[in-house]
Amino acid sequence: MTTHYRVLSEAETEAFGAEIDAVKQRVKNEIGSQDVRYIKNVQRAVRYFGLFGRLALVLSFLSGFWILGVALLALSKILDNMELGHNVIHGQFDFMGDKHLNGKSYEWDILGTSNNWRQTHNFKHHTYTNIQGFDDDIGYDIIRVFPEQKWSPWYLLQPLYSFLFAFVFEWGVALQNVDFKTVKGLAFLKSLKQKNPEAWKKMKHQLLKDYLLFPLLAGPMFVPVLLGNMVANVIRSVWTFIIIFCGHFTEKTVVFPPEEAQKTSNGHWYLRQVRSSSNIKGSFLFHVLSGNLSHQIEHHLFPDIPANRYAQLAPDVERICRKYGQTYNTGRLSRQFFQVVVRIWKYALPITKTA
Amino acid sequence: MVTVMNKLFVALRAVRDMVLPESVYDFWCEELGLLARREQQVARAVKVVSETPETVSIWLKPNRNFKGVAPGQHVNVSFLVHGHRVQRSYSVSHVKGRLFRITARKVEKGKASSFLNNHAHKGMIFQLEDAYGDVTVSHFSDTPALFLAGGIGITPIISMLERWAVTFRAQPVQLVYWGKRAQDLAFVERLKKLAAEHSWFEFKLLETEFLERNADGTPKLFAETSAWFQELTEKLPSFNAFACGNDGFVHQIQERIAPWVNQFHFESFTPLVFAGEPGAPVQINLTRQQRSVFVPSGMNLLSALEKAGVRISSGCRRGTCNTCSCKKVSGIAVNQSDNRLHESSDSGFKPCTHSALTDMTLEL
Ligand code: FES
Repeated sequence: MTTHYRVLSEAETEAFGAEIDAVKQRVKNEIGSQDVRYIKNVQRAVRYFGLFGRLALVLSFLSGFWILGVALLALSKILDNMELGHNVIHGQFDFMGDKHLNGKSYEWDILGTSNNWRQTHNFKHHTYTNIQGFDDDIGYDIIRVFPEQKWSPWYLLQPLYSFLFAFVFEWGVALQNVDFKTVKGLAFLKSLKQKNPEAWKKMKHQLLKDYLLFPLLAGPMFVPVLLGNMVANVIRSVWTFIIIFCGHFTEKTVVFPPEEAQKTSNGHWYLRQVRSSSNIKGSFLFHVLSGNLSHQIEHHLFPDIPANRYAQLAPDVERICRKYGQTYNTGRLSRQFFQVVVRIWKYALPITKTA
Repeated sequence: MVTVMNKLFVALRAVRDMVLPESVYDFWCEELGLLARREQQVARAVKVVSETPETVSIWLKPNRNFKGVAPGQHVNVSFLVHGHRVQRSYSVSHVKGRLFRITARKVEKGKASSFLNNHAHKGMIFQLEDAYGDVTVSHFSDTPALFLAGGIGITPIISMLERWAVTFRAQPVQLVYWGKRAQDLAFVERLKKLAAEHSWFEFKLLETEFLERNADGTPKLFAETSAWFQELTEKLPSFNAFACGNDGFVHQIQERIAPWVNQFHFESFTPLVFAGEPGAPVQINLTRQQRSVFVPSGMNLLSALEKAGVRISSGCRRGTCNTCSCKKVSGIAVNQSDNRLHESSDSGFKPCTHSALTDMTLEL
């Protein structure tokens, strides 16, 4: 492996897995009312910020209200997307048996359907994290962030289009499962409608809601509301792009060859999660706003444990990583994101591993 | 005209669902302390009464979505126990208009019944499912009724008696109520009062602690020589009988009474039976597919279901992706990675990390 991750023998790998399992079991036994309170409060924040944000936009003829409205609505959308939706869809709160916090049925306020996400994210990305040919999230197929990805001249433009991609990241996630290569141009819209009616319906729903219905309800404030909704969506896109890219594409993260997918034991699986994920240091509020993806390592080790528990798990995970010579990849947001940007610029060039 | 109206209705509904989708509507109702929900059937506890040190009654006020319950019927009720949802079936012990009462007796190691006895409080919110059960007051309206209750099996019976107490009853009702000791039995005072006030109702209490024993150690419910039993047997052919209690109780009653009465109905509580040897077949009921399959106990449930030809989505097969998860309504499973028993009903049950130890019902 690299200098950051000591090569472990089979026995060591399994011992590493057993230690991680023990930590998980300990926290799993504690899950209960405290976690219910937490997620209910997050849900509350999403609803109140959303309501006040939309109201402020309607009242944006008053000075400062437009900015306030955008900020609150963006906050609501970020929380709905990151701390509420993403974690609920993982089934972390299924134990509550709450119809509206159920992993199988939760639908979020974003262009992509949760069903699509369950497939691409919950299954593919989490089961085969950073395994080439299995995990479509490695640069989302359009950005080259590892030398192992095959180079093409298109990638020379990636510093530019990655920057633009951040603003429409929501669309990128929504269309992740769609085949652009075979159907091009406007025919693509038709094929989307036919082949993926659920995605089509969801996009229509979101667009109508944010760009027609809510503006119409605002009457004379149609335009400020429409623009406010649009800016809130863009802020959410940029924020999620930054957090998500810091999760797997910082300097020390690794990609794996397809053969790794065969190694399914707990030890191997846990090791891969540690080696391919990176955390971001920050305050409690920052962790909440990042949907606790700032604890990407813990999230990948324990995607089914409520995210509010990651901070509690982190010291043990770090200790075990250190014991087995595995770098616990963490740093401040500026540092981690800088490393992502470096990767985007560096691997735009035809640099391969051996180069 | 009708189609235009229909289209308008559909459009208005779509607008409503965009502005105020069900999850948002339900949230605000809950936040404002209202019982209204768009679809969910919920109820609030309006009165909690401790019947005996081990038995609690809870009066529930359901919201409009609940279709109602008849005396004698049962309702699946769920609530949070230390954050985890548990679901149990209760027979209602009283119905007053839309209000109804459930009564829970503490059972040893019973998570739900202990919680209700210790922590149920006014204002507590319960989720409900449609009421069910065929044995209701209408079964006994024109014939003499013989009710045979074992312990907490009294609940569907008392609800029928309460109904007749405020309506009209021409036919006699005879109740025999067995329990370990009178002071532990729910509703004894109320039953005595009903018997004093209504000539159609007679009631006999038998404390099993003092009864003779059968060969297997269980109390002998009927002492053939006793005067009351003699008297009862004479009346039997005209009765519609209904027995409610645990399995063993109902079994004994059935043997002795069923052949002699006009009609015999019963309801019993079935303790779950563990499959003997690992590999012994257990029955998995699939509620959505409306069928049952047999799978070997102890085998990975996801693989076993697939092998039995059940359509079930799966992904990681290691418990992390949540693809295979479904609701386990009943049954005991064991988690194959840490050998923990999984006994309660659970909406996020993962077949890929469990094997079944008993018969099981899954919402699949
Ligand atoms: S198949 Fe992934 S959780 Fe069961």
